[in-house]
Amino acid sequence: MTENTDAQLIEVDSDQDVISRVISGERDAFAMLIGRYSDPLYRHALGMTGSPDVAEDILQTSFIKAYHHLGEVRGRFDAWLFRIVANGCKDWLKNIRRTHLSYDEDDQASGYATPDEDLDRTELRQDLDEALAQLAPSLREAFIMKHVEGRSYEEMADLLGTTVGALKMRVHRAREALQALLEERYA
Amino acid sequence: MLDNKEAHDDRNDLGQNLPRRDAASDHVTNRPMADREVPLPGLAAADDPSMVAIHQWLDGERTESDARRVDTKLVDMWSQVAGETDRRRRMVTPSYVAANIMNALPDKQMAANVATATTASSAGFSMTTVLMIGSAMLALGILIGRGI
Repeated sequence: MTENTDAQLIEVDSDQDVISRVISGERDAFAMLIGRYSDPLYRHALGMTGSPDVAEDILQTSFIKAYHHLGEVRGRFDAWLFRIVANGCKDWLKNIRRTHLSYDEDDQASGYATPDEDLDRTELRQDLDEALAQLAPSLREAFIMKHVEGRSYEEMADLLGTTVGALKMRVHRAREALQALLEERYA
Repeated sequence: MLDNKEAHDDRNDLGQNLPRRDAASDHVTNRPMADREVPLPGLAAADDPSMVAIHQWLDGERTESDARRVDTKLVDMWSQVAGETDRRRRMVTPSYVAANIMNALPDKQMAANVATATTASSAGFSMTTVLMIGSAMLALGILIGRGI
C-alpha cells in the first residue's frame, strides 16, 4: 500500500512541479500534463470544430506549442493551456469562414457517432451538430463549455477572462438559437 | 471586446441599425446551412416565460417539474439535448494522440533548451557548452600545431 507507483506520483505532483521537471530536461514528464488535460481539451476542440480529425490536430499542435513555451507559464497552467486550445479552435473557424471552405458534413456528423446507437439518437446528434455549426464561435464556445464540458459560469469566466454575466448572456443566446433550430422537430 | 461586438450584432458594418425580423416569418431553419449565422438579438423572446423557465432550469435555479409546468414540450426537447451533451462529456481523447504528441516533441537535449529563456540554470548550461566547445577547439589546434 505504501509503494510509490507512477499513478500516485501523477496525483501528487503539482502542475508546477511537472513543468519544472520538463524544463530541467525530463522530457517524458510532459506526458503527465497530457494525461491530465487532454480529455477536457479534446472535448472542447471537438465541440468547437465538429470534426475529430481537426480536434486531434488542434490538440497536438497546442500541446507541442505549450511544450516549447513552458517557461512562459504564469499563473495556472490549465487556464494557460486552455487559452492555447481555444485560440486554435477560433483560428480554425476563422480560416474556414475566410476561405469559404466547409468541413465535410459527413465527417462532422460522424464525430460523435458510435455504431450501436438507435436512429433517433443519431438524428438528434446530427441535428445538434448542424445547429451548433450555425452559432457564432463565441456562443458555441459558451454553450460547449457549459453543457458539454459541464463547467460552472465562474469557471468559464476564469478561463475566458470575462464576466459571469456576459457568459450567461452568451449561453442564453446560444440556447435560444439552438431551440429555434431544433424545436420544430423535437418539441 | 467580444461582448461589445455582440451587443452590436443588430447593426451592419457601417453601424446602421438593421430592420428587426419576426421569428415566425423568417425562421432560421429556412436559411441555407452555408450561411452559418446565428439569429439576430431580439429574434428569440428572452422575456418569454417559457424561455425564462428553461434557462432557470438549465442553470440549476429551478427544478425540472417547475419548468415542466410552464412548457412540457420544451423541457422534453432539452432533456433529449442534455442526454446527448452528457454523452459527449464522457468522451475521451483517442489513445494514439498522446503518443503522437510525445513523438513530436524534441529529444531530451532539446527539451533542456526549453528553459533557456527563463531559468538561471539554463544560462549555466549554455556557458558550460561554450566552454567545452572552446576547450575542444583549443586542444585540436594544439594537436594540429604539433603535427606541423
